[in-house]
Amino acid sequence: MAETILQVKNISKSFGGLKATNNVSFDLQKNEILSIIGPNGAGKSTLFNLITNFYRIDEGDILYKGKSIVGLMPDQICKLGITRTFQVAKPFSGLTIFDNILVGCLSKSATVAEARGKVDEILRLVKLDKKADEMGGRLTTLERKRLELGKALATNPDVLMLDEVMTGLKPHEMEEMMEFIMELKKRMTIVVVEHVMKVINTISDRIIVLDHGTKIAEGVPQEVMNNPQVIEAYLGRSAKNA
Amino acid sequence: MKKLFNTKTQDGKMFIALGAITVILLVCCVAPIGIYNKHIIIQTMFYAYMATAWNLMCGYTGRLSLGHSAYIAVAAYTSLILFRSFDLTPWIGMLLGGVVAMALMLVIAFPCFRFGLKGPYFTLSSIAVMEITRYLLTSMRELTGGSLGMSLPYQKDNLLMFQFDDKEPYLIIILIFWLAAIFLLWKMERTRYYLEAIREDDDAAAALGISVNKNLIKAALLSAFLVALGGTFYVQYYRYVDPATICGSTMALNLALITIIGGSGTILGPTIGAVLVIPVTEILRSNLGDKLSGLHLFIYGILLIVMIIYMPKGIISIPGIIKRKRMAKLANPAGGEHNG
Repeated sequence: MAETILQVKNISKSFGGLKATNNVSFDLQKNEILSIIGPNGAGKSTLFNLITNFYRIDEGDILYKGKSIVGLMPDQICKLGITRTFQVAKPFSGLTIFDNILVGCLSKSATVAEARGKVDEILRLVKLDKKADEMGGRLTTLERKRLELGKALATNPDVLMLDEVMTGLKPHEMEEMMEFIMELKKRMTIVVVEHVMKVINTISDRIIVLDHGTKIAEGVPQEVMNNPQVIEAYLGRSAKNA
Repeated sequence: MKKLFNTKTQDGKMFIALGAITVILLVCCVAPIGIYNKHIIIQTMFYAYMATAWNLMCGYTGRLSLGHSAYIAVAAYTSLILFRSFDLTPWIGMLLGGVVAMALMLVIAFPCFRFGLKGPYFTLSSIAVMEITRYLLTSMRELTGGSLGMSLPYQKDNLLMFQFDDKEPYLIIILIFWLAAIFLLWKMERTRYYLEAIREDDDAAAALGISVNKNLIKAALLSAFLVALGGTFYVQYYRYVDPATICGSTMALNLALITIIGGSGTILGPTIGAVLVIPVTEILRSNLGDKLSGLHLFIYGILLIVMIIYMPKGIISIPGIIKRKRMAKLANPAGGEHNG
């Protein structure tokens, strides 16, 4: 039995009358890739925001390495080892690519000089080393996604949470990104929110499916894909009856 | 130490720039250039120092305060009142003034940052604090002298009481203030990166482990403290304060304009802005003031419009622009524009 690194216990969140997350629980095992899927508006990104406390949970508990992280600020959660990316990449537009990564490196470095020493390796890793002096605002979609990933990796996380890193990428770029994520798995635990089924089937160890804020299925990819409830959530009730 | 003299590194360039300015100003101190010119130099350095302090918060974090005069004013009045009532030396009054300014800053900064107020909303609340402070200073007549202002009782040359008959000591003191502010900013390298990241996107910064509120408040308090020291310098130099001048929008706008013209979010940008703007304003004012009063403000306005359109990052960005153009030319000799 693998070690459990993150436990989400019965968390709920409402925005006004809308229950965005409803009593969701799951465990995250060390060095696995867990995918969170679901139709649009199912509450996938909300779940990310709840775990990293960009939104505060209404009920439930989140344990990281056995300790509750509920109520900590997003930056404290990052310092503990959980780093997330954003669905819409958020580069620091006014800073160079080098400085963008450097800012990420600072959180786990004692001095700025030490952080500077780590930047080149990460730039090479995300293939932005030739663009180090360019401004963060002047990147293509793929480069933005890579930078977003690079910034997250710069914090040297134990748990990396990727919010739709594949969206907008061309098929060969996706292949490249998938290989990269599989490579990362050796070093860290990864949670992925993704829409592209091919990606999910290839990289996931386990999948959880959300619909209207509720977890409707959990398991290995093949099992989940054949689950009638999941098919219904994606294709609608009429498709099943037809 | 070797690093400091290397003109190739950022630190080296900075060190040389500081050294050059210090030497020039010290030469100005002993050179027979007349009292008026010395006055202009002191004013320039005063605004260079104040704009540097303003920039520490506003340029680096993007939280544009157009009400910094409030912090200057409360400190100026604090040290002046303590001096008049208790004969307390302004050197200590200055520090107490700084504490009062920080307290005032905390009152506004904490709720603003806590609830994520930024952009025009933060700017408006900063102006509101300034307006309220000015009304209070004007209405507390017994304590502050009201709108008539308050003068500094004259004592002859007295280092302990921060009063001098000549201009030179003031020049040296403001030079030390300025050097200290620049050195402080230079040493805060990590915080500078944090503040810049927060300026660009505070959620992204928080996701990378940067405590947004803590860093914003740190910058705001430091900025308030530094401009507060300048407030006391102002009183000691001009020997007179009134609410409209020291707690008015002209002073606050000046800090913003100087910084934007020079280059906000950079260490030396505000200084470059002050060196450019203050002497020009002074010369225009003294030469045109009697014939076409207000013309200097007109020229000032045009300069600002031109700067914001063509050089939003300030004068300090010129070398970078030239370098980039040259590199683009080298990389693309045909000179064809390509679409991004």
